[in-house]
Amino acid sequence: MASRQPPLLRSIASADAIVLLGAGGVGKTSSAAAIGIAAARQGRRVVVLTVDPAKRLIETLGLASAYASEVVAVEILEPQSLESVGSLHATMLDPGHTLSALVDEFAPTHQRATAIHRNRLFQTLVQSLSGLNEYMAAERFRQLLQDPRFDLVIVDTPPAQNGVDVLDAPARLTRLVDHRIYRTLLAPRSGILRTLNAATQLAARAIGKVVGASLLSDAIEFFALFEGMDKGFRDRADLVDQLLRSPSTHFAVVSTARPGPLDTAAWLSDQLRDREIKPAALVVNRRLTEVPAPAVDAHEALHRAVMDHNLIARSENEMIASSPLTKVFTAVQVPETDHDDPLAALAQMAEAFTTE
Amino acid sequence: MVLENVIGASKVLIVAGKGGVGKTTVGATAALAAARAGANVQLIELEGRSQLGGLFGTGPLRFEPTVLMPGTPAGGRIVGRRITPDEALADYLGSHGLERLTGRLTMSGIIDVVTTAAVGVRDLMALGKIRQISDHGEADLVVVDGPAAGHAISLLRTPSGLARASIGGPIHSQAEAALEFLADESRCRVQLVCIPEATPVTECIDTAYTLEEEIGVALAPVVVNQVQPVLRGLINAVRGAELGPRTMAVVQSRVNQGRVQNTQLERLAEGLPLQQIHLPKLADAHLGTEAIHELANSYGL
Repeated sequence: MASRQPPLLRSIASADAIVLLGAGGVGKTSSAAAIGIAAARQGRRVVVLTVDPAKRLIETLGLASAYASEVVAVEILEPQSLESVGSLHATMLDPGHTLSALVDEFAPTHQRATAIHRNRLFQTLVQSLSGLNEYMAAERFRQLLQDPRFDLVIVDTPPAQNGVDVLDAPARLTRLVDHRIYRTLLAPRSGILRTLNAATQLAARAIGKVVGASLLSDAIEFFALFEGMDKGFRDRADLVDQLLRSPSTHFAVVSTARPGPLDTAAWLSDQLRDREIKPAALVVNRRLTEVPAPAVDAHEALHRAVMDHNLIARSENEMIASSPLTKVFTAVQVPETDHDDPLAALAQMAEAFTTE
Repeated sequence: MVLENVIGASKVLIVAGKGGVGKTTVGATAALAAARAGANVQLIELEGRSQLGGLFGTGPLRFEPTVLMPGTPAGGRIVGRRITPDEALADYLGSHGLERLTGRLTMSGIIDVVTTAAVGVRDLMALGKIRQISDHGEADLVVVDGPAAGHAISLLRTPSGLARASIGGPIHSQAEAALEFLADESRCRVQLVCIPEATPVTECIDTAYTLEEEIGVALAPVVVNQVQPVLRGLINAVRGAELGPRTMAVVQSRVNQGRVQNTQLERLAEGLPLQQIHLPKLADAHLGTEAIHELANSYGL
């Protein structure tokens, strides 16, 4: 069932969004940029949202001097004979900035927004305690998808599990806002526990004992501050959820030909399947090919260098061939690049997404 | 080599590094080296998504301990378990007499509310569980396969964040206890892992300073993984050698890798006054118990 054209070609031509998932260090951000270049060459107006890029890529994409959430244009190396050229932009997720902007958008008054920004738990939340990135990546995705400057959003998610969390974040927020307890906790205006029913009071006291009454009341205050804003947040979360699950949002799993990343890739594609999402492709980065050995009388060091390379190449080829993933997906094999210039390397990677 | 020179002298070793540098492999190697020296080791994965079980051929780890290596000649052994933040929170609530309530909707609702607002609570509980395992003497050494570097910093920052956010109460004292634990080098150290390339080395140095200065946690020797042996005479041999273009590209790239490796190892030494431990790049892509044994051999243990 190997298709004639590379499996991502259709996504590059027609999807509204391409979301990349994969283990850490497999080249997700590079792949996102390379796919972006391939799409821009076909006339699409692309923005790449990157969540946790390596420093080198931040520089390559021109994001080093960008302020929070700024979208910057990326210079791409163009082949000579190109008829239609789109554009490529990149932006880095700033979770604190995105959250603050959300609060300002939904707060009924300026005072309320200020009170929320002052709440201790809110501050803890913003100071990058783990968990916030996923919520905010989903919201930022929505913003870019609805930005008229772009017609294709490519998202580079945080590694592995956290990538899946991005998918689940909006629904989790909706569930919380809908929760009966949350509504009950919001109801009392005088004294935290007074108006709760007996069972809830009992539970709240018990929780208070364990987590501390002050933290519980901080949490209650936190949610009380959001009173009236919950509909806005909820509708927004619903919208983001719909956009993530829309048929025009495509997914690809990124890996290298190493056991750890491939294992994670298999797990991620299971996670997607559980959410009734079929990935459009598996992208395998840094592929090596075996090369001919030097002449017999060549220097020992030459033999050793080639042998080391071929051993790894062979072992990785076997790894790919025996992976259950390649039985399900057509893999896009991206060769290891030999360019020193990072933009040239990305342009070379982009070839793998446009030609077979 | 003496074990202490490899992992430092503490009861808990948190292995951290950017994705793709072989953090899980290095954690397993440290556990094996300690078990060979006779230690009773618990190897813990935090994300429910590492390949520890696969490395030892036991399948995915669970919250309940699984024996990964039953007994070494020196009398050591390795058990593995997975402690996700959710499991740690449930365990904590259970051990504080709340198990009767945990099933109730009301209960889970309040937990949802509190932990969604104070997202770090679950992470704090995971750190608490690790502390408890070590302090209660359930193992001589606890090796934690930590989350990827960025997330590791936010995990380790959680106690100070929560200590500030909550005045008094059990979460506050848990956070204080976690801070004390992290600052005590006889109890806890972080082992950073990198590979000899520019970006990983830069991030390793940055992470080291963030961990020491902001969180105050002690560092074990830094592990440089995937170090390639120096091929003597390669540079001279390339000159004048008649090689096909593809073979030439491979050889040339090995020469470049050798240069990069030297430069980066020096940079790491200059940027980070820590002992370096080198693990060789293995030719075989298939990682398993054999590979871990081979790596532990290279520690001289």
